[in-house]
Formats: sequence, C-alpha cells, structure tokens
Amino acid sequence: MTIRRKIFRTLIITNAIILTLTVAVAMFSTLNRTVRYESEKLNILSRGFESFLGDSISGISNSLAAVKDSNDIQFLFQSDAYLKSLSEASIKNSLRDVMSNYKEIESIEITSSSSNVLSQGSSVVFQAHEGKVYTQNNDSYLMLKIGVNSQVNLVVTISLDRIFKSFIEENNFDRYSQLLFYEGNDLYYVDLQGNSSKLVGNDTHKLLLSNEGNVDDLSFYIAKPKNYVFDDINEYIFLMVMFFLLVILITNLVSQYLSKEISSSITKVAKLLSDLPREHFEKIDVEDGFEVKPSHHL
Amino acid sequence: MLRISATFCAILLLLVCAVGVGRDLLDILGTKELRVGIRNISSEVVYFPKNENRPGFCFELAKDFADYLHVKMKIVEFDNLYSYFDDGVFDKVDIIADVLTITDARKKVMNLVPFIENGEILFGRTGESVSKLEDLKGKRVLVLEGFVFFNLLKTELDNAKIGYVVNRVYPKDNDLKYLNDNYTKASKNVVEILLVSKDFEYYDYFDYVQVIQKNADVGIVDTFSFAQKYFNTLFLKQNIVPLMMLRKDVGYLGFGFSKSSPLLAKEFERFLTYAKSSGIFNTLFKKYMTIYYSDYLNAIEK
Repeated sequence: MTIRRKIFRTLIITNAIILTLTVAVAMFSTLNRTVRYESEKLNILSRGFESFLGDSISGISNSLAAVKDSNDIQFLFQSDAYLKSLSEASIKNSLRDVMSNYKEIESIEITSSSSNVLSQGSSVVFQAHEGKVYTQNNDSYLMLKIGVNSQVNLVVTISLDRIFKSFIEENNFDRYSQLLFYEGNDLYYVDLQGNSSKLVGNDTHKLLLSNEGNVDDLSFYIAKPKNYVFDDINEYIFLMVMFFLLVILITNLVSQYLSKEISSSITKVAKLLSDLPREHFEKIDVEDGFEVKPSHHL
Repeated sequence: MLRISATFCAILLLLVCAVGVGRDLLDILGTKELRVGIRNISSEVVYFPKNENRPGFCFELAKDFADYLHVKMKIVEFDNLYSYFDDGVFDKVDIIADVLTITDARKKVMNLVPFIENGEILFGRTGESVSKLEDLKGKRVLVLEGFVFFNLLKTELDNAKIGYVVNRVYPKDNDLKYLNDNYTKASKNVVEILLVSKDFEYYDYFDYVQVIQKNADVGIVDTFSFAQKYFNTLFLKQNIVPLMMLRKDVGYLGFGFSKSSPLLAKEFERFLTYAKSSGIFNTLFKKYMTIYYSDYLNAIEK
C-alpha cells in the first residue's frame, strides 16, 4: 500500500466516524425533542380539552337550571292535562334554546325512574344505559345526569365526536389528534374523521398519549398516531442523509487532495534524503524549548 | 238563681261550641302537637306535598314555626279557601297556614297575623299593554267570587269613575260559559268583569290558564303568589306579562288564628320577628321566589 493511500484511508475513516457520530447524535436529539414536544403539546391539548369540556358541562347545567327548578317539571306528573301540555310545550321550548346554544348536545330527556317522560332531540342513548359514556353506530356520547329530585332526572346526551371536533377546530389544533376514553374496561377512540370505535390489541403502542385528563368522572387521553408524529421529521431525516452523503463525498475529495499533498511532500523529502551522501551529516539546532539541565555531581 | 246561672253557663257553652274554640299556646306545648290547616292545591306558595323541592312556602313556614315551638306538626287538609271560615274550624286546627289577604271583614272572624307584604297585580297575555285602569275598558277581567280582588277592583274602578259590568261565568270544557242570570253585553267603553261562581272548585293556576286560553284578557292575583309562579314557571314566562298594580296601597297576607288563641298568635309574631332577623325567612323566600325578600319589597312598594 502506498503512503498516499494510507493517509487517505486514515483521513476518510476518521472523518466518517466523526460525521456518523455527529449525525447520529443530531438525529437522536431531533427525535427526542420531537417526542418531547409532541407529548407536551398533547398534555396541553388534554388540559385544554379538560377545561373546554368542563366549561361546556357547567354551561349546559347552568342553562338547564331554569328548567330543573321550574314548577313546570312538577306539572308533567300532574293529572291536569292542560297544565301538563302547557308545561310540556314550554319545557321543550327551553330545551330547544339550550340545544341551539350548545350544538354538541344530541338530546335532552326528562326521566322518571326508568321511564322517559319527555325528550328533545334525537334520543339515541336513553336505553336504560347507566354508564358515563356510550358508543353506538360509530358515534360516542357522554351522558350528563342532572337530578331534579329523588325520582326525576334531566339526562343530557353530549356527542363526544362533536365536542372534540369543535374543540380542535376552534383552537386550530392538529387534525390528527384523537380522543381516547374508557367505557368500562374497554378503551375507545374518537377522531376528527368521524370515526369512533373500540381500540383493539396493541393499538395504543401506535399512539403517543397525553397525561390522563378527567372531567366529571370521565377519564380521557388525547392521542396522536406515532406515524403522524414522525411524519414531520421524515423530511429532516432525508435531508440529514443527503447531507451525510454530500459531506462524505466532500470528505472523500478533500482526503484525496490532502493525502496527495501530504504524500507528495513526504516523497520529496524522502527523495531528497535518499539523494544525500550517507556520510554527510549536519548539526541540527533543536529549538523546542527543551533544556538539558546540567547534572549535579556530588 | 242557681238555675239561672246554670242555664246561662249552658247557653255560653253551646255558643262557644258553635264558633269553635281554638287551643292556645299552652295546650299546644302540652300536647306537643301543632295542628295546621292548609289547602292541598298543588301550589308552591301554599302546599304541594308531591313537590319534593318546593313543598309549599306556607307549609314550610308553619313547619319552621312548629320546630321553633319544639312540637310536631300535624297537617289538616282543606278543600277550599271558604271552608276556613266555616263554623268550628278551630276545633280541628290551631293555625291556618295559607295566603289569607288581611281584610277588616276577615279580622272580625279570626286573628290574622301578617307574614308577608302583598299587593294585587294585573296580568295579561304576552303583547297585552295595560298601564292604567283606563286601559281596561273593552277588556274582560277575570275575578273569583269570594276572593278579595273582586271588591278591590270594583272600588278602584268606582274611584276612577270607569264603568263596568259584572257577568257571572262558569268554567266548562276549557271555556268560560256565561250564566244566564243578569247577563249584560259589555260595550267597548266599560270593563267586563267575569265573575267565577263561588261553587267552582278553584285550582292553582286557574286564572293564568283562562287568560292563556283567551277566555279572559286580564287576571288579578296577589303579588306574593305571582312572584313565586312567574319566576319559576316557564309557561307563564313564555305566555304571560305583568301589567300593573291594582292599587298603590300595600296590604298583607297572614296566617289565621282563633280569637281564643291570643298567646299562640303572639308567639307566631315573635317567631316571625326572629325568622326575619336571623335570615331564616329570607332563605325560605329566596328558595321559592328566586329573588330576595328586600327586592320583592322594593318591587311592590314602587
């Protein structure tokens, strides 16, 4: 192997190791930063949704207070047919007003024991379902029960799909976000494409999750599919690889040039030395600052 | 002489039995039971036992009074307002807990202890505009025979020199049918008073229902009942508007006591003073009316 080749190999290997390490550290740091950034964003989303849903629930409850505390509810259970019909019409008017202010409400029902006394909206959930959330036909609902007295309740069905969608849209958040919640022991999800169903198997491993949020005994997470999380940095990785290849190419050229220059100088020196007569030596002054101390004789 | 005295005592005893002798405070404390007469007319103002949240302002005030005396309360239900004034009523009850408008005539029959300031308010359907008595001309005003509003309305119309005719009516099939006796067709320059017969079995919200059904244009109720119903009833808020006060004077609603129970009536006055100063009364008032007692007083005294 020629000296030029040896120098070139040394330079290229050294540079390649340094470059690879640099790129690896940079990529790891970018990945780590992306995951931390996305997780923090999801936690902020989770806290945001917590207050959005909480505000919505308390707003609905306050709006329904006039109905809940009204004398009209009592007349629904009285024998006087005319008073009953007047009260029914007025309650329905009031419920319609509340529903027009809160588009996420699917239906409001007045129930007594297990029977439905009056309902406004499309009654999709009331089927003696006692849980907090309910999933049916690709839609999920949150049930809010407001007690009128020991027998009578106002049951408000809130569309989780709609409230989650309006939260994301109002705040201009990421459209790939999903809402995850438990119904019993099963984990369900709601996304902005109108899908809502049970998560199966290891699907949660494909998701980046926020911290757990909780509103009115509903535990939930905000999630984002990992492929979308890393989608943003694919371009960055591609550029990094291209940069890596380019730098390797440049390093190769520089190494070739350097190895050529260094080896030609060494060759010249070697040639000069070889041309010198072997007996002829000249004193070389060493100017490296090293001083030989005189030895002390005792 | 002895025979005359015995006869006199027997007559006195018979008289006393006829009007009914109420038990006084010591009897109630002795038996540890307060018998409360009240109408069960599904009214949040009076008594509405099926309503868990608001079983009745008068009922709860009477209950607070019984608690204050440390005695049990026993409810005696009455069918209508008139039966409070029947003979012997205070043989059955110690106190009448109801919205009894205090009038001189009634004060002759029983002790009435005021518990709330009260006025008479005219109401109509949404869109109706009556701001003075003159505006009642050509309109049908509904009143019930035996209720004080009838005489008060006539007095106010007489004072304002506004003509009126009184036609007796009877509710039937969601309508008010004229009774044939002395029917007078009302012109546009007079007020037509529709007088509901005394024998009609009155129910709460009757006046409002008649006005909503367009069987009458204007109704009259006491401000106390109106405040409770209007602020808490959706169909009233959506169909009815308050128009004006019938008169400027503020009157009172009271609980009734036997003339022979002065100590009990006095104790009720003491209880009211305590309840109003301690906030018990205001809390109860807010629960039923949704407004504070002081705001109510400001509204009716304006």
